[in-house]
Amino acid sequence: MSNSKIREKITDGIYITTINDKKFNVNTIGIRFISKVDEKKASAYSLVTRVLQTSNSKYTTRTMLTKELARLYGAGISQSVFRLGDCQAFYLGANCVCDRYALDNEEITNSVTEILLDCIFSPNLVNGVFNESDFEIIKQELIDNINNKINDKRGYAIDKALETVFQNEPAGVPLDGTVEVLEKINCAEAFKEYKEMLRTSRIEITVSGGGDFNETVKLIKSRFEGLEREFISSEFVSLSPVKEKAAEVDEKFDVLQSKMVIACKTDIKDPEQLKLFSLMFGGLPSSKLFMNVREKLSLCYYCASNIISEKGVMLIDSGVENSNIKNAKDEIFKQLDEMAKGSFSDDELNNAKTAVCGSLRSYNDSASGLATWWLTQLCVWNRDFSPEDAIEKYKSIKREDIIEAAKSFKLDTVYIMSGDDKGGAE
Amino acid sequence: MGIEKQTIKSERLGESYYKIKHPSGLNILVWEMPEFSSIYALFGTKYGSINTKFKTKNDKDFIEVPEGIAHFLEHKLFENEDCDVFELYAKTGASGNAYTSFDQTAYLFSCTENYKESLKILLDFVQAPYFTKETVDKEQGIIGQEIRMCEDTPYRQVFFNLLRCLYVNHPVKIEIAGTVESIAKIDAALLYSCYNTFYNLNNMALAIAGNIKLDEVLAICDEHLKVKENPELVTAFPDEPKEVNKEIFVQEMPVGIPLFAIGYKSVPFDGKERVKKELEASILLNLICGSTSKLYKELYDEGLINSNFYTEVDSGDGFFASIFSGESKSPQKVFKRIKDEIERIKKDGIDSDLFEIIKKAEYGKLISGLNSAEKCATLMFESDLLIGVDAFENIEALAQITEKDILDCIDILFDNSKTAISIVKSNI
Repeated sequence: MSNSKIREKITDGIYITTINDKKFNVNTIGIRFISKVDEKKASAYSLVTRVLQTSNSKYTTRTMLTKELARLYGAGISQSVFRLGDCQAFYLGANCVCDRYALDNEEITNSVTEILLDCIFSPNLVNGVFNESDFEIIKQELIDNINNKINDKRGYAIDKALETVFQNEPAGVPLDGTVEVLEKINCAEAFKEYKEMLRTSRIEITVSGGGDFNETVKLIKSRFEGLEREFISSEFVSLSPVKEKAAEVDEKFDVLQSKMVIACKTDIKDPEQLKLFSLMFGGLPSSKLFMNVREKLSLCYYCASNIISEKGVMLIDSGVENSNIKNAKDEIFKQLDEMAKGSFSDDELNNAKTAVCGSLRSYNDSASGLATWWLTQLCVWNRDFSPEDAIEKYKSIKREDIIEAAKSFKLDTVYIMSGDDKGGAE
Repeated sequence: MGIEKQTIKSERLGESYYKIKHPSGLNILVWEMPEFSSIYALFGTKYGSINTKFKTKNDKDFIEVPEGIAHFLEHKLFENEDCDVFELYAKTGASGNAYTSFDQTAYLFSCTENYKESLKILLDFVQAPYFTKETVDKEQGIIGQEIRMCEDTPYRQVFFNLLRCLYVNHPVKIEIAGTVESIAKIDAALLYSCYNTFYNLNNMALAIAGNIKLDEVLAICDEHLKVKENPELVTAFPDEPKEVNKEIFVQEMPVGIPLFAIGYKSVPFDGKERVKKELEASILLNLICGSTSKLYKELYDEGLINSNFYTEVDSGDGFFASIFSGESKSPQKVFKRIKDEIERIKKDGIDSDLFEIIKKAEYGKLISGLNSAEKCATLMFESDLLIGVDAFENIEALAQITEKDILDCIDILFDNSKTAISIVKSNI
């Protein structure tokens, strides 16, 4: 493979990984602040990264910043939050086209990187804290966004299920925190949390794309090297304890199609073994769930399984007609049972291997995909494990390993968002 | 009959691909990207949800078919007489899928190995329909679920409600999947009739990009494309007035902040003119209320919009609209301010500096749109099949657009007497 990665430690708990291949025409600089959080920290860090995203001391308003990025050929600065096991990662990143496309030989990548670094290290301050009126607008917007999560019924059902699945665990803390906590955070407190985030988080930086990154990496290192640190390290992988009696949650909503999310837990810690099992069970169009629950019995529009391997959890989420909920649930468990009995062909096993290996090979065609890959491997799983290494590992998985995985899952939670039954389309 | 092969080049980008007019009537577009591992292929027809009225040389009168039939046909084509297409792809390791939009149905796969085998599967199954009463009945349940899921999605509802406001007769206002009632009228015979009309190689295109070789692709096409008689298809659309159907529509659903979509209806455009007008509309949307504009800042600072605000151009055969969408506690106020800003720009002219900035941002967006086999294949496919232009037409057209062009088209694209707003507000 033509891609190579270079990883360096900048200082305590701060790492930079560079991935470069000339075939890419865009560059991405991603900075993740990773921390084990409670509701307060989740709310504050999400809010802080949103404030940082919108301005800095040079471009003091959102419009000024956006305009400058637009001038740099439509570059962008984005913010997001995602889970890494028991931790949450607060992402601030910039993307731009490679400098070779500049029409007047302007320097694009380094200019964009400087803007991003200024957002983080030199925010727009008034009297030593964030600009109060901007802060209040952004806070309200975040609250609105949390209230709007209901607009995406599938995602909302999964979020609600996870709160029960990870009861009393850090992994159960909602992404973006909660409205109740956010309402109480003021500008001065948020500024304190910002300082705390820079001082104590694990910071993972990736620079990826088709540019020449020597100068870019130097720029980034020079800003992070001087940072005052009291790094708090966190464990990423911890199996979630299975409930003695499975939790059942049924929420009523004004929806035409009901959603059902089932969570099962395992004590197996091998991410590839679990992933391959899940692909065969409900992760591919040729999987047991797709072929039987959807295609053969028409019980669901979608029914798919996913693995959260850092926590030993499998989620099966489905969209079903209200009157079919019980049948769909029975059929899902029947199929799990079939897997545990080894009722699958060698073809099914080999097809899943072919599919996963194919998608692993395609990582090399996406600079941001590779950046995410290496973040997960180096940071969460603490291993130098390339997509090619993963291909070899998947190839070595045997039928017994799949049966072992299938047998290991125990029911933990069933979450149902149900509407009124207005009659099906059958 | 010889094969007509053209190299389509962009000097500006240093990129090129091949366009082949195959003797079967099919346009084949091939973009070799040897440095990549992935391959992405699309095979499809210029047949979408808006094509509900048509005739061929064998028909005396126009035929009208139930809403949602193109999408239904897409679902059904995945089933062969003896097996499911996904099972075939599972063996080659390709990931297969399909989609139906207003004006196209496309079948696709992506893979990193065995592309030749997957390409054969793709060409074969799309050319081998198999519909029976049993399989059609079963699909009605699955699609019924899909329709319900769309009806529960407020973003989709706000968009389609806007189209129903903008268009009086044009079928673009119909949900792509149809309704539970309309799909109940579909049977195997109707599916065959639509298939035989629209799935003719003269009305289709194949686009493939990635780690492939032109000769290998053409050899497979020669072997697997079935030449059929050209049915000389004619599609018809009802007359669409210039005026909008209604100015406002409000729906209640469980949502957080109300959603809105504001649309400006324009006369439709074809070919190169459509590419140019889409870019001009996109630039104007940004000049009026893009994230770099004065109005955006004002609305944002006043709490009338949040950062979930975006603009888009929705155009095709017989329809063209420029759309602002977002979330707001007072959508009507946003609507008024946008109308006022349009009048102001018409009076005062556009900000030249901002025009240049927006043009640069659009250029960057087009370049980012070429960073994977998937994006390159999709661009070639849609440019050729839907608009009849080359994939680099947009980047060339953008370079030519001047401030004067923008001022010249604002009256046509943003007419305050041809606009509507759709709102989804909360019932919780």
